[in-house]
Amino acid sequence: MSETLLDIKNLRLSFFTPAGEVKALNDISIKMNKGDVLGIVGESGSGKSVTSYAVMGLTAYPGRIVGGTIDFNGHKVHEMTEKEFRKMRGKEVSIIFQDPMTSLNPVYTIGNQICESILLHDESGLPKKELKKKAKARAIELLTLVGINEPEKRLKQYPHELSGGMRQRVMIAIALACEPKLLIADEPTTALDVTIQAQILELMLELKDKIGMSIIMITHDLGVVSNMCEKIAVMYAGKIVEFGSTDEIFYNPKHEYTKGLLKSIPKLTDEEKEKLVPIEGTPVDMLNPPKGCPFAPRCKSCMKICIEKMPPYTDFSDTHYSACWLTQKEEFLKEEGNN
Amino acid sequence: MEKLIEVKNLKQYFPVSSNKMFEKKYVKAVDDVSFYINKGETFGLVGESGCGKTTTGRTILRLNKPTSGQIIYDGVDITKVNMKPYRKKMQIVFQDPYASLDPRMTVGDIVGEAIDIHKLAKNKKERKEMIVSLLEKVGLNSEHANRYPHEFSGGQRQRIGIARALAVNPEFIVCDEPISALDVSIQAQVVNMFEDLQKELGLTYLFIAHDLSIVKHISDRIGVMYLGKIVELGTSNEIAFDSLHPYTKSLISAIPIPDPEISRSRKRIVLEGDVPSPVNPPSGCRFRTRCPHATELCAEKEPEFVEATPGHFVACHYYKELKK
Repeated sequence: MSETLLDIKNLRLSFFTPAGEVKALNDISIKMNKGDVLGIVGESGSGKSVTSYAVMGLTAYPGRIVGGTIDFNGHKVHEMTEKEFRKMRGKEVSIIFQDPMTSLNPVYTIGNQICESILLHDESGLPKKELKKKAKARAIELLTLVGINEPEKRLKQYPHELSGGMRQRVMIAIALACEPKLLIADEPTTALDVTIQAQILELMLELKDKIGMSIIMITHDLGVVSNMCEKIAVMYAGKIVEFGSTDEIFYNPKHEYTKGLLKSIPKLTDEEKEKLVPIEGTPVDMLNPPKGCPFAPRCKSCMKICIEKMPPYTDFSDTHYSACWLTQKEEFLKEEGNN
Repeated sequence: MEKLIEVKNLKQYFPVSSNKMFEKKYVKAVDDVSFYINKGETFGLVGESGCGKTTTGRTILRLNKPTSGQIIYDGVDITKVNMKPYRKKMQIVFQDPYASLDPRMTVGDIVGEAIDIHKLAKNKKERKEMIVSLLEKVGLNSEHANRYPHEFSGGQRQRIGIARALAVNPEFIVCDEPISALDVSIQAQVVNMFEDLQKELGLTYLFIAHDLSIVKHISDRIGVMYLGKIVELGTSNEIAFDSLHPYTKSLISAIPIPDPEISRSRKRIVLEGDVPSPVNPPSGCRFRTRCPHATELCAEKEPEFVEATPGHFVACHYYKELKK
């Protein structure tokens, strides 16, 4: 059951900009089993997208992996060449981008774009004509799967003729064309309305069970992860500051950033009007990150050591760990008490 | 309670090109909307994109010329008057802090522009003092006045946008999705600032957003819009917990709640399809094409906007039956 699909170990990734090296990912380790739904939350610039792009080999210039390993489905991703990536992308791992308005090509029909990845990854060796017929049949099947009515008519339409929700469905159809093992969803519903968001999330979960794929859900919306995911990684300034199951993160958060994040969002279910507790300060400047814990400048319970040294991970259960000196201290005192 | 703003049967149509010659087509962005906002109150408008909430806000400020209807500000009909004296009283904070600040002006000039136009400062020194005190009000400081917008983060830029709105000492501010472009951890800062400023300066807000949880948090009363019409209006708790209109119900059930236990046990009403085009809205009730309870009556007759309980209005033929 728990077969490892994705294993990222100590990944470091930097962007070498004219202004200096930006350490976008700083020692990231994630392990994912088959069939898992992992949520990555964090604010913009925290490195959540960069992590998943690295898995697909989509790191944009001037970014480069400077250390660590990525094992995905038997591939050593960190050593792969562009040619090998082309074989893997779309077939074993695919991605849905945030904005369906810009991620479809406006000058090709929907059908053309869905068939593209089917044709690219076909290994049956059929003659071209038959292959095209097969791809078209598959495209219709996919559009039906993602809940688009009149699929045959849609195949001939261009992206601008469809609404936002429909376009995102088309994106999902393209992503699923070759039944990938891993689907990366990079803020798939941020650009959509809530009622459409509910449709898309429902669809993704349904398809996950049908096809048996794993999903990495990148989002800044804690509501979405609580609905969808089993495990959550909270990222801050290129670090995973806390990792745990959904219940552990929501009911027993250990890192000050996670706690702050949970307190700062209003809940629709609260009857009384309570004042929100914001996280003060601004996100980190990644060009000049602080020496110690990146969250220290905004942390309410910042200690001396936080500014000087990066905290190591403290384990709370098999799945739950966080990087904070406070919990280190608690653990230490506990042990001291036991002795 | 004194009404500061009252909108009566407001309509805002935009002409669109049609395939046929001599046939005029309109996007009915706002179609017969009426509501009022009390002094010192926050009135929230929610709805999906394209439902006309932003247009409503802009038309109230007369940034659009209303097709018909009345806008009454503090007892005076401002639908057709010269707006200049009212610009000092009514201001707006825009959605995108990256697009709404002129990149070639310093922050001091952006905030000071309104002071110059309305001649609020006697001399340069006073102008500078005003700018500094405005920046301090929104949590920035005097040294920020000489910098340019690109040097600021999203949250700080939105603060500049708010300082600009406050420059003329307004009574009423339209907040048009002021936090949806910001990071989650920054959103709470800005929401709190809106609340603090309201208390301090006695402001009245029209708060427009698509995120019902934020709107519920900040608003006293909420109007829910769908395709150019307000379908339900009530206090924020009435909307969140005792909603009557099937659209409001499905909207609330569609919002992901950041609490795993609640979201697991909750039953979601997933609406089928997309919002219809506002050029050809459905006959009768506009929500009927997506409504799970629609009948023939809904297609024939447009439901009236009735007062279900004091202060709680709804436009649905079957709200009484659905309540059971």
